[in-house]
Amino acid sequence: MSKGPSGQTPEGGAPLVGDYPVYFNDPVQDAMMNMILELSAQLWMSMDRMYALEDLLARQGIVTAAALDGYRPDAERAKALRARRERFTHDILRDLKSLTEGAASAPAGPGTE
Amino acid sequence: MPLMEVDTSQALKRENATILPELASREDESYLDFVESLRSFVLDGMQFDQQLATRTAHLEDTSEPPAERLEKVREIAIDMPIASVRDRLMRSQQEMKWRRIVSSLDARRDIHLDRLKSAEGRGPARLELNPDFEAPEYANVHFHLQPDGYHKDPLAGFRYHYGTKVFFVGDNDKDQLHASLVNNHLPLPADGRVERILDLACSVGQSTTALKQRFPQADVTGIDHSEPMLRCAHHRAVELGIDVCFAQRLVENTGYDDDSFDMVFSFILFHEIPMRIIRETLAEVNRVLRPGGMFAVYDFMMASGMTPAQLYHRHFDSRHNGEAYGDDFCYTDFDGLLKEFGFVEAAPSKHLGTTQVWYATLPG
Repeated sequence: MSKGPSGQTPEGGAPLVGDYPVYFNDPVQDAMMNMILELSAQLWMSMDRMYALEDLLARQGIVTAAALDGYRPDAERAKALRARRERFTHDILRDLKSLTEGAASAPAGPGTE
Repeated sequence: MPLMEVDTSQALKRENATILPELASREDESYLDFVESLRSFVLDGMQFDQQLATRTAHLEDTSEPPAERLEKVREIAIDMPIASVRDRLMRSQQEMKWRRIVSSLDARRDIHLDRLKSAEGRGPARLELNPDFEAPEYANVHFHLQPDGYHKDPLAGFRYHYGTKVFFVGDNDKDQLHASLVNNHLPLPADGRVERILDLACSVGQSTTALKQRFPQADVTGIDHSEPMLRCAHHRAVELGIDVCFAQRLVENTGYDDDSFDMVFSFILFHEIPMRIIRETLAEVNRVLRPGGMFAVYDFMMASGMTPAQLYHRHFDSRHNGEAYGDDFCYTDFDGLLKEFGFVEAAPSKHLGTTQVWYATLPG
C-alpha cells in the first residue's frame, strides 16, 4: 500500500494516525492479527476456487474425487505453483516486514493515536 | 488501444453488478468478498456496539456536550479488550481492501485507461474537464485510506467505486442506496419545478444518474474536483446510456450563474471538507440555487445526537480512516450554519441510520 499523509491534515482537521497504527499492547500482536486475517482471505480464495473447479469438473464428468487426490504436477506446473506459493507467503507475512518499517510507531490503546 | 479493439473476453463481470469496475481475476473477487464479510462481521457480527452500549448507558444523555461524552466513552473502551480487536480489524479490512483493489486494477491498467479514454466524446453523457484546473490543497487527503486519494491516480474513480462496493457490504452493487435516497428521501421544491439539478461532489456519479432517472426532463450536472472521478463517472453514465453532464468545478466556486438551479443535491460531501470550505460552499449554494429551490444534504449525523457507540466510531473514522474533516462537520451546528447562510427549513431533518438528511430552501 502506498504511504498516505499522516499527522496534521492540509487544513486543520483531525490529526491522522500513521501508516502502521498499533492497537494492541505489543505490535507483534497487531502483526499476528493481520497475518490471521490475510491467511483467512487467502484460504477463502482457495476454497472458492476449489468449489467452482470441482463443480465444473463434476458437471462435465471429467474428474473424480479419487483423481484429484492422486494429482501430481509436472515440472512446469510445479514451477508456477511455487511462484504462487511465494506470493501467498509474502502476503500473509507482510506485516512482519511492517514491524520493521513501522518501528517508530508508538503502541497505543484502542482508538488512540 | 481503443476499447473496441480490446479483448475483453477474459474480463470478468460480476453477474450482479454490471457497472462495477472489472477486477483482474476471480481470485481478486473472492479476496474482496472475504473482506466484505470481514467488514460485516466487524460492524455487526462481533456485537461490539452492544457491548459498548451496555457499559456506556449512563452516557446516552445527549444534553452533555458530545466531546465530553466521547472522552468518557473512550476511557471505558480502553478497558475493553474487544475494543482493541475491533479497531484492529476495522483498520485491517480497509488496508486489505485497498491493497487488493489497487493491485487488481493495476494488473489490467492499460485496459482500464483505454476504457476511460474511449468514453471521451461519447454520449449521451457529457464530460467537461478544465485543463487549467488545480486540485485544492485541502483535498490532499487519503480519504478512507484510499491510496493516492481522490485525484492523483488516473484509476482513482475505479478504485473508489469498487471500494464503496465493499464499504456498503454489497448493499449498493446496483446503486440501490443512491436510488432509494433520491427516490424516497428527496422532496420537490414547493412549486414542483425541477428543470436544472446540481449534484455537488458527485464522485463516480451514482447519485447524478439516479437524479436523472427520477427527473428525466431535467438537466442534471454533477461536479467534482477530481478528473479521475469525473472520467469514471462519465464512462459509467455512457455505459448506462444516461444523459447527464459531469464538470470539473469546485463546490465552493462553481462558476454557474446566480439562481440557476432548481435543486442542489449533496451526498456525503460536507464531512470531507474543512470548515472554511463548508462555509464557502453554503454561500455558493445560496448564490446558485433559485429562491424556492430545494437544497438537500445527505451526510453524517451531528455528534450532538450520537449514541456513545456512534461517537466512538466517528472518532475512529476521523483519526484512523482518513476522515480528516469529519469532526469539523459533525461537531458543528449544521442547522445553525444553514440559517446563517440564508436557508430556511423546507422539510424536517431526519436520521437515516447513522446518517442525516437536511432539506433547505431560500425565501422567495
